[in-house]
Amino acid sequence: MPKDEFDFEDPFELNGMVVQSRDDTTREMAETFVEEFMRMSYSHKQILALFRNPHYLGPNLALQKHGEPSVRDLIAEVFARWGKVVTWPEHSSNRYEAAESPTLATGNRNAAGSAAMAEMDSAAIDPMGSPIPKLNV
Amino acid sequence: MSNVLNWQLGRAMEYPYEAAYPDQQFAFIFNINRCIGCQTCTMACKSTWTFSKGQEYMWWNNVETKPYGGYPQHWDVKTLDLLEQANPGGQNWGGKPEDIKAPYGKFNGKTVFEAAKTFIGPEGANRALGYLPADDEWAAPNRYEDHPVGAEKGVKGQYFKGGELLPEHKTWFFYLARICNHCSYPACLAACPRNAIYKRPEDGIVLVDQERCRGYRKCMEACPYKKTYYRGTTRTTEKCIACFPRIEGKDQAGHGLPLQTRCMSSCIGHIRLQGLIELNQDGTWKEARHNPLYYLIHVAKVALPLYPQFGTEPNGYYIPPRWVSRPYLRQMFGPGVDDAVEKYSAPDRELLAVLQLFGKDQRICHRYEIKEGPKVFETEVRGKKFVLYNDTIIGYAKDGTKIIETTVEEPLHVRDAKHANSI
Repeated sequence: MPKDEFDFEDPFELNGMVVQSRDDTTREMAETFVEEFMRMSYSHKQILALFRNPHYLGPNLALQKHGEPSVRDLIAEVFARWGKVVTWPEHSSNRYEAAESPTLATGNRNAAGSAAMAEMDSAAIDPMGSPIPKLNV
Repeated sequence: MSNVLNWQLGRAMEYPYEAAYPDQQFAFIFNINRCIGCQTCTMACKSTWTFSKGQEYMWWNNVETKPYGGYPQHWDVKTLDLLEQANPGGQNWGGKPEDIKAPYGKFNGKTVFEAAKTFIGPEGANRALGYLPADDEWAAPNRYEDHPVGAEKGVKGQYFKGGELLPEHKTWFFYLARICNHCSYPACLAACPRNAIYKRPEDGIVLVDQERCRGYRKCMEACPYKKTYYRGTTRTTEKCIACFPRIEGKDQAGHGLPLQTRCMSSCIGHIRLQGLIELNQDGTWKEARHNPLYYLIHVAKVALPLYPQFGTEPNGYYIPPRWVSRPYLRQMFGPGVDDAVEKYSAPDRELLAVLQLFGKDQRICHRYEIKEGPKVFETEVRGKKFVLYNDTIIGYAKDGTKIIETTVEEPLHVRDAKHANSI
C-alpha cells in the first residue's frame, strides 16, 4: 500500500505510554509558544497563524482544545505582560480577518523598545510570509 | 574496565577504556521550548548526508514527539527498562549540586557500562547494556506520532481528506530533536569489537572508520540513544559525522571560520546553538565565562544533558519545555530540571541576551559580550520581578571576528520569495 493512502481497516495502533501526570498543560504549552515567538519578533497575527496551521500540531491542538477566542486572549495577555498591547477586532465573523496593528503601550515602554512593533506588516500571513490557506477538513 | 570521571553523574564510573579527552569538544544546546517540529533540520541533514541507496531509513537528525514517539520506536523506554531490571529501584539521584564536577548532585544508580556486567550471555558480558532494535522499529521515524494532515497531492491549499478521522494523542507533548551526542564516553565506541569507532582528538567528534567496520552492529546495540545505523548496501555502520568539514572551517561559506552543522544552521525556530568547548585534564569544562554554551550549561544551568543516567556523558544539552510534567522531565534530564525551568521561565538580563545568539549566524560563536541598553519595561512574570533591557549582544568567532550583533528586542526581517530558500 502506498504510504500516502489511508487504510481504515488498519487499526493504526497508538502507542500506550504511561505518563505520570495527566494534567492538561496545553494552555501552558500555548503560552510558551506565544512567548517564544513573540521574543523572536513574530507579530501577534503571525503567532495566531501558527496556531491555526494544522501542520504545527502543538499550537493547533491548543487552538482546537481551547478555541480561537481563547488563543487570541492568551496572545494578548502574553504580549501585555511584555508591555505590548494587542487589539483584535471584536465580533469578527471572519477567522482570517487581519487584526488591527498593535498600539504602543503608554507609560512604561520607551520609543526604542517599541520601534520593532511599529514595523509590523498588517497583512494576515504565516511565519514564512505566505497567505494562510483556508482549511478544508 | 577503568575508572573515569563523569561530571554529569557527579562521580567516577566504570568505562572499558582509559579516559582520553579531546582538545576541544563538539557540543550543542537545543531549546525545546521553541521547537514546533517542522523537520527542517531533519531534511537539511538528509539532503546533505543520507540521500543514497542503503541510507533510506537513516535519520542522523530526527525530531520525535515525546512522550509517545521515538526513533527507533521506544528507544529510551526500552533502555530505561533494561537499566531498571538490572538495578531495581536503584536508579535514582542523591546528594546536592556542587561545583563543576557535580552540578546535578550524584547519580546513585548504574550506567549502561556498570549494568552490563549483570547481563551475561553465552559470549560473556557486553561492554554496555543495550538492545538491537528490530527492523520494524526503524521503519518510519514518526510512526504513530501525529495525525496525518499533509497536503492533498497536487492540490494547493487543501489538506488530506479523512486524516482527521484517525486517532490523535490528546495529552501534553513536545518535540525532541536528536542527533548523535558525540559522547565523552561513547557506548558505541566501547562496544565495537573492531575498534572501528574513534573520537577525534581535535574536536571530540565520534566517527566510524568505514575501512575497519564490518557491520557487526554491536555499536547499534550499545548506543543508548540509538544513533548508529546499519547500511545494507555497504554492510557497515554509519552515523552523524557532526558535519566535520564545516566544523573544520572547510566550507567556503565560512571563509575559513568553523561553521555550525547543517541541522543547526537550517533551524527556522532558532532553537539550536552549537559550539566547541575546551576541556580540563579530567574532562570537566574549562572555565569560559563568556562562551555561550558554558554560560547556559554551567552558569545559568538552564540547559541539561539528555538522559545523563545512561552514563555516556552526552554532549547534547536541552533547555527543557516549561509545560511538561516534572517527573517526566526529571527522568529525561536529571534533577536539574526544576531550577532550569524556573530560571528559564523568568529569564534574567544576561540569559535573555544570550538566548538571542541561537540561530543568528551559522559561524560558531566562541565568546560573547553584552553592551547594556536602555530599560524598556518592568513588570512581574509568574510572581517574580522582571525587567526588560534592550541590551546588545555581540558574538565573536574563535579568531575574534565579530559574527553576531543583535539586540534583545530585534526587528523581524522576512526574506522575499526570491531569496526564501537561499541558504
